[in-house]
Amino acid sequence: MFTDNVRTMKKALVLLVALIAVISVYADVGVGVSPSKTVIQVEGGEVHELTLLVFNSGDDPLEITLSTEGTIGSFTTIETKKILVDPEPKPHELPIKNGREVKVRMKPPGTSKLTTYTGTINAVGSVATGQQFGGSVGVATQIEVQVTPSKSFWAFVTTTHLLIGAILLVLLALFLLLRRMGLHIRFEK
Amino acid sequence: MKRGVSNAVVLLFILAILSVLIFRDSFTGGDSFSGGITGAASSQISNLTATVQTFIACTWSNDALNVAFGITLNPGSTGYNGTLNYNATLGNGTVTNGTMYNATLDTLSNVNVNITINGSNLTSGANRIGIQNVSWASNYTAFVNASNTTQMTYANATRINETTNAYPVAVNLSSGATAHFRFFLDIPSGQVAASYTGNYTMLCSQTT
Repeated sequence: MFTDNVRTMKKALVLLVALIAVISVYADVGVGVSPSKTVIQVEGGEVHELTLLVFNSGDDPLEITLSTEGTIGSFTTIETKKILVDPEPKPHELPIKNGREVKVRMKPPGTSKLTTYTGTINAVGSVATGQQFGGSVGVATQIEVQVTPSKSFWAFVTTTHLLIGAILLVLLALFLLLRRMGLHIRFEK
Repeated sequence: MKRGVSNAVVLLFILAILSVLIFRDSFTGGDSFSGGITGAASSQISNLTATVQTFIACTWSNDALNVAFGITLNPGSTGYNGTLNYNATLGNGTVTNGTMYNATLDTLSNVNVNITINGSNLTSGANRIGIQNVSWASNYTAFVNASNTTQMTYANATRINETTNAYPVAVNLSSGATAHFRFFLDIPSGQVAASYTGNYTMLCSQTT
């Protein structure tokens, strides 16, 4: 009697494991983002912060990698580039329950005329298991950044400018020091 | 005396420049994450504004992320099918000639999307099969009617590139709709015998 119960339990356990394996093999993979498109107007040299909501419309937890593409890439920083997101409960409905907010920081360079930069921020996940042709899938939110001419002089000042300024100051200080010590530089024809 | 005053003036000038450089960030907000002043209160009578946020969410069948072309592939042969190109299993276990590779625009989405594709070469050590030998055909492109699945054949397939392909796998997919697609592989003549692996990336983005 006891042996029969153990056998039945073993069979049930094997079936359960097989069922879980089948479910996990056939789990759908999905990624979502909000907003899907953003148009930003920002002054050159100023910092603009954008918050994206990234969520998982698939069946299992998914590691999602964020990256930039396009001309916005040179001045865009993503706060967290890899996030693990739990799936949304089914049936899917708003508001998003398990999504993760990702902060994106943009600091476009100073400009003297209106300049438009475009690109996407991609949120991509993958569960490929070493097949011949594995897939990564995701969503891309479109970004358009309209950079207006800078009002502040400092928006045009880059690190290079500061470095040159510092070198000139050191040379000037050296010149004054030498002069104080009684040494003179004279240009003669 | 006059010389001393002149030196002091020059030194003061230098100090002034240095202090401006040091405190520059304080004046402009510098690299502060929060930027400048925001959230200024305002009052206006008669205007009501409401901004509805846009959402997109695409979901792929698990099979679409694990594509195989079989293990007996001959060099110089073209149009090998993905193993699940014609192998869809219905809920009752019936196998049809439908494809198991698909992507659905989730009903959470409130804008239409395009689905684009790019990929990287299939490699085995130093040997490679160029990604352009892999192609796809779908039922949701700009030039195929969504209901016309007979167009999803090797003859109508588009090659995958390393950069995003000019022709999306799905065009203007609406909320709740599913794009089905098939994959095909060509093996160049003289290809070295080995097990090759590669990958592709599909991206959903709002239709512009």
